[in-house]
Amino acid sequence: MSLLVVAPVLVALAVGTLALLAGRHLQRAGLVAGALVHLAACGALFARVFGDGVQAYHLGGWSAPLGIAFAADSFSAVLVLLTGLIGAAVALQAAQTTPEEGLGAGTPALVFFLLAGVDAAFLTTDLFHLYVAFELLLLSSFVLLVAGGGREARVAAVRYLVPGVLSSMLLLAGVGLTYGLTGTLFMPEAGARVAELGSSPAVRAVAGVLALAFALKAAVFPVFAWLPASYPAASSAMAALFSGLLTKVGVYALVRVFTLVFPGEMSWLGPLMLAVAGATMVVGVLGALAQWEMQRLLTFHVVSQVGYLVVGFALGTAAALASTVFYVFHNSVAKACLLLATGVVRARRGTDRLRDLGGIAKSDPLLAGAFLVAALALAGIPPLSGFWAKLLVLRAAVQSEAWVVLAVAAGVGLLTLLSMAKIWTTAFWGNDAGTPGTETSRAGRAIELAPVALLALVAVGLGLLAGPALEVSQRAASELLDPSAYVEALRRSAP
Amino acid sequence: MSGWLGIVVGVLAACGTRLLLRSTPARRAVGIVLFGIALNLLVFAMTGAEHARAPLVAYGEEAPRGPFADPLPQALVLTAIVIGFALQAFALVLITLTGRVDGPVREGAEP
Repeated sequence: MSLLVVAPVLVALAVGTLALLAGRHLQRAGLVAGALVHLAACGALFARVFGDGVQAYHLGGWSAPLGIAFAADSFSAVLVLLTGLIGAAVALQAAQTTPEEGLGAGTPALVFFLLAGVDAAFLTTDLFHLYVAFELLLLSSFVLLVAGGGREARVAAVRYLVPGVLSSMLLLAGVGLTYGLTGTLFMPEAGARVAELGSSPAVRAVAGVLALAFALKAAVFPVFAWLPASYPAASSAMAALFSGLLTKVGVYALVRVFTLVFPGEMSWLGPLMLAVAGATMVVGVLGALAQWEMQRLLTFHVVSQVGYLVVGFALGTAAALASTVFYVFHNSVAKACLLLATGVVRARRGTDRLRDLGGIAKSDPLLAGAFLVAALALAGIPPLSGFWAKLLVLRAAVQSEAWVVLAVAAGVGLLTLLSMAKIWTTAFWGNDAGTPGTETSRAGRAIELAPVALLALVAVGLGLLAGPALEVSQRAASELLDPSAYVEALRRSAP
Repeated sequence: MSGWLGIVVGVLAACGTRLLLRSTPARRAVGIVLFGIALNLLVFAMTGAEHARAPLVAYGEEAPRGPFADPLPQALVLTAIVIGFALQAFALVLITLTGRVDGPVREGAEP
């Protein structure tokens, strides 16, 4: 019985509600303070899970099949910590933007409602509650996307709308069908019933509907087009928030549902997802290489990186799942860092078009340094986090003798480096293209860089502490493959 | 009864999918609505629509007398309808705001 399991969600909901009530002058400070409290709650849960093992909490004193239970195993705890971290960095940057650049009256509240949805999705054990959490984060992200600007943002939101709503409706259908099949929405119990049923066409169909819904959320090939069509129009802070968390919720849900409820269906879904992962990596990185705006290039890249996450899920071995856990954390941090750096470039130069940029390394050495660290981390240069993350994926592919995916992952790694080099050589090296810079004080410039520097430091730290981080990932993978500790913690904490 | 529901779900989902594939936002919005109704009906069908009796416990008895309808899918559908309505309302406002209700939405195409 630990309230810590629900603390991240409660804090995010409470801060979000307070932000709605607070006046405009309190919003900036409230956004940062709230995000730090949320990070503290996430950190406390992470520490507790690593000290005492899987934690569970039954809401309202009703035990699970009747009520809704939250549970945090190592995978959930890692992702909740990631949510706290990305949330804090994004809040630090969003608090510095003006209403024109996207800090509207409702922005702080919506950021926290989105975080609450993400946390709830990572922690819940109830399939219908997972659907509600998805809707919460989806609706918040719609409004945050529109708040990013004018007509372009609204057009982007319309493009985001149909796939977003469609995936939610498919999820609802999958949840309803699972209930029809098993008579329960409590994931461990549903898993036990599915195991009794064995593999039948009905089970395969239900698993397929759920897999499609989560694949749409995760933006994998061939259902990824909505992501590069919408994220570039958001403000950079919101793009960092979406890229860091939203696709990862889709990947998390895939992993959770297909290890806990439908593990038997991986026999056909695994090979399919492996092909999907390969195509996602290639298409995403080729799309990124063709772009000439920083944010557009980076958001295309999000798609490519989701491919790496899905490789681990598709292979399904302990080493592969460990690579997914490590990769999620590394990738979200590096990608959010790059997008926040893009936000600073936009704020200082007024554009992120590569043709109009140049010489940032000379005029803004600190910003350039942080960008370089994150870009090299993303490309997988040792000793940064991305090197270990890619190494784990490649090692898992070798162990499973998935040679095609191994070759694709290695090749896409090179292209990733190339696309990062494209940004670096045009925007950061070269001559200053003479775009007007905005004048800010020295202290102002330092505060502007704080969120970028924070995430760059995490990327470095994760690379240096790869040993402990790998242990955490392996523990998470073994808990996913053998959910008995998860089920036992839920049973033990039942009132 | 379940068979009829299945046919209705199928027809609604087919119409919804057809409209979702159109390029005009207004048609897509109608597609979303139809598809949503289809999937709500699908979840509703999980109740087993044959047993149309409410699961009420008579005074002095311990359990409702069967066969009765399972109330949980109905509660789920109710929640889904409310959430879906909010999403659809937001979608319609957004489509109106883009100013292109009747034409395809394209990059850089100012109204």
